[in-house]
Amino acid sequence: MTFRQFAFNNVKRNARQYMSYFFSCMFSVAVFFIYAVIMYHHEIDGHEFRANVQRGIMAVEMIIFAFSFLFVLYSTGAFIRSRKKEYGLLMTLGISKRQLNWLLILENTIIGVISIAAGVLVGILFSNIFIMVFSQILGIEGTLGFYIAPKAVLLTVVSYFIMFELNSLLVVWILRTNSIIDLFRGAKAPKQVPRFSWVLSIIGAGLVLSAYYLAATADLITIFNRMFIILLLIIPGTYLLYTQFSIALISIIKNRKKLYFHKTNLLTISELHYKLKDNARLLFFVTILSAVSFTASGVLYGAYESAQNEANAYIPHDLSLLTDGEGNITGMDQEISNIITSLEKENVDFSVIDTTGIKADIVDSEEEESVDLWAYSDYAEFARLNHSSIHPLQNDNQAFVLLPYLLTNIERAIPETLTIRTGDHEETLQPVPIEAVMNTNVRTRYTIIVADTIYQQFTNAADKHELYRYSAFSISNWPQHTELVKEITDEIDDNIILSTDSKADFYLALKTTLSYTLFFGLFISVLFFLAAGSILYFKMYQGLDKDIEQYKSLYRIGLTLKEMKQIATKQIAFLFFIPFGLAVLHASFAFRALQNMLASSIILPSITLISGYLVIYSIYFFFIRSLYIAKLKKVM
Amino acid sequence: MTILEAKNVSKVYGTRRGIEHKAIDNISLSVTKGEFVGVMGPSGSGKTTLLNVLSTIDRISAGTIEINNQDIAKLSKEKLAKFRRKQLGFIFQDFNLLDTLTIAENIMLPLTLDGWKVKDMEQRLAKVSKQLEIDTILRRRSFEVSGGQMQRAAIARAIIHDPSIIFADEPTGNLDSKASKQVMEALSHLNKEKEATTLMVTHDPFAASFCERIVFIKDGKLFNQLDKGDSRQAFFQEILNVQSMLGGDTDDLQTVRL
Repeated sequence: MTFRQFAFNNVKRNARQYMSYFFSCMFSVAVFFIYAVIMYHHEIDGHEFRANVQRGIMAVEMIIFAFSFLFVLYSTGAFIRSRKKEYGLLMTLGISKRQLNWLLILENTIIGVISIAAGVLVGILFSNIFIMVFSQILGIEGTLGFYIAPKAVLLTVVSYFIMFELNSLLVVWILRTNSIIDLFRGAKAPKQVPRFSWVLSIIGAGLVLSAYYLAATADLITIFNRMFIILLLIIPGTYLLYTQFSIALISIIKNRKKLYFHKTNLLTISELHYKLKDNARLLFFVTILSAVSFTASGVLYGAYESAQNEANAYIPHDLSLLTDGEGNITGMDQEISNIITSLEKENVDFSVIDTTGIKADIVDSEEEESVDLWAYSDYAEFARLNHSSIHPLQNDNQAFVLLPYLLTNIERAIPETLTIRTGDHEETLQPVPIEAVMNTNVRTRYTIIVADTIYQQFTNAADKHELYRYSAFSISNWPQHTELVKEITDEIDDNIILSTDSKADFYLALKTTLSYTLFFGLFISVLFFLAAGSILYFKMYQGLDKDIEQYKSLYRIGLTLKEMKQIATKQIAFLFFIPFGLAVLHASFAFRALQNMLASSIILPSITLISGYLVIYSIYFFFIRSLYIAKLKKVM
Repeated sequence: MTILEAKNVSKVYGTRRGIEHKAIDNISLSVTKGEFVGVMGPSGSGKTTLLNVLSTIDRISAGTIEINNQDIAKLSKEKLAKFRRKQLGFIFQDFNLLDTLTIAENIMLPLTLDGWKVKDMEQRLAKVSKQLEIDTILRRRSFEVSGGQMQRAAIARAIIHDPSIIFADEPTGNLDSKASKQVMEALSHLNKEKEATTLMVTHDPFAASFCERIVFIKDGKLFNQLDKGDSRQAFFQEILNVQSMLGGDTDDLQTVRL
């Protein structure tokens, strides 16, 4: 047996321990590689999106790489620590420090090379699917061809190889100070009773609760200020929850003797007491990682799913044209007939309303503010076109102020009375805010609906250039004709039409932006999430030998295998699902904040997403539990 | 009344194609209520294997073992564990106290697993801890007390549920002579006062001299048997004689150099 064979056999025979480590490394290599394939894809090189997309991919690559680095460093460290005794034995047998370092580096290199090779292979297998999805999102006609750039392979192999080597050097450096006796003792030193402070526990809970409150009550305006404060509260709060509050909670449970001394609870709870304290920082880390990944993907997915509803809320009319000035108003006839022709050609059902509005100045205003007036009968038609309810005007002195959706949730001071003037005609009206039924944009000012008689008086007083023309289209089943509407709006002459607004444009713009972000975000989130699971697994594996030792003695005094399984399952479940649950709770308050800003409910998308994560996590949990129990069975 | 009855017990290792090794070869042994029996023998003689099979931790290859008239070969693994929990007490060389529990919690563990009421458990705890003079350290953790105290706590755990028989595996193996004496006196006291039936495996002739009867085994077979007379000193000397006759490894004879 040569030295190299020895190292190789070490890896081979520790395969089970290396498994999760290996899978996680392989996964990150594969993801990195797939992005690299796209980045260097020759058909993307010439594409107009290139610069933008490539910058996005580059950023993703860097995040993945940085994350993999930390992950591999942590895992290698944890793994080597769990084998300290073995190294102690080798040292008593006379292995030199240099040889031991060489052994560690060799082992790490072997595992690194294997995961790089496997990662690239898996990457090649999946890159085709990935490229297909990607071209769909970018809207590239046809899909990109299957093409693996040699540069992509080179980049992946070289950067990951360097990373693995760097990591093994770092770990060797970390291990350097240990004397043989320290290695032998390993983690055997007795643990102190976990301490906690009531004050800090309560502060922790308070911080988290106040962050929740801020998130739950945030709206579109306040969220930007609050976001930072929420983070500032939630992160230390979560940390204190794990290091203090959880220990406090267990101490309370321990004092409830009936519960604590009930059968295997004694073992489960007392073990958990130590495991929670030992792993507090890790659990905190896992919680934050998971919460970030849930929130990011949930918010993106929620927004993406609700894009259609958002379009409905923000843009009341499916398609609208607005213009002013004498020449433009007559020129608009041509544009409208063009649109009608296009729609008829594609056999799309539609209806159209043509209306005229009047510009009026607010009399008492300091800055020269003006409003747009529309007649009540036109308003009723707009509302009918949207299938929204029609509010009745109480008397001729009342006027409706149309509030755009964005502002409906925000309290604004509406004056008691409003005096407006056009030409020589002046009226004093009582404004009543209602939700907008027509499209608003930068060209529109406050849109006001007045009674038909008053409107008529203003029309008579108005000059020709003080008139607006607004045409609204209702297109049946608009989400199916977004591309057509986009084509139509692209054709419209900007010189004649002041403003064109359509649901389709809004929807497509939102979808495109979100789909990029979602695509990148989801991948990184999943990566974070899997890493969180792997870290837990390593920690569990580290303590396994000690646990087994304990179970062995418990077995002798009559603990049944069934009870052992129960205890082990409960403990693993607690360590796995406490961070998961807390992360879900964190994320749901983030979703709540998002909900305050969105028109449509994101309950369903967020539940879908969390369930997806739960399924992955449960599979992970059962996998690790079965490994653990298999090991238990083997020694009993 | 016979508590433990082993008839023609054999234990064979390595039956699968490989070379067979008879760790225990046709041993018969019976222990009556209130007896304090020691098992001695050189390293590799099979005494730990004997203890393991008698205490239901390991299965036998041939023969029968009855504890309290219950044939333990007929019990499933699950039932055996519950049987051990109710009927047997264990004392180990390395104490096997859980360091996540306090001394009190360690002692109450067998009762807890059996689903006792807290009040009853605490009553029992008070009684046994007083007997073993560890009632002052109940709230401490295992690594905060001395080896002798740890072993006495382990004894308390072994007897708290009034087992039919206590199995002790080298209970003094990790202790200095003073602690050994304390522990053996505690065991012998329990045996006399409470008629606690005990089977102890040991290397240590000093510890063995507290027994009433000693069974010597060699190469898996019964070799000799000694009964204690009136004097512990004379018994100790006899034990040493048999040990040198057995011709075990030198480390088995360590106490001869006293």
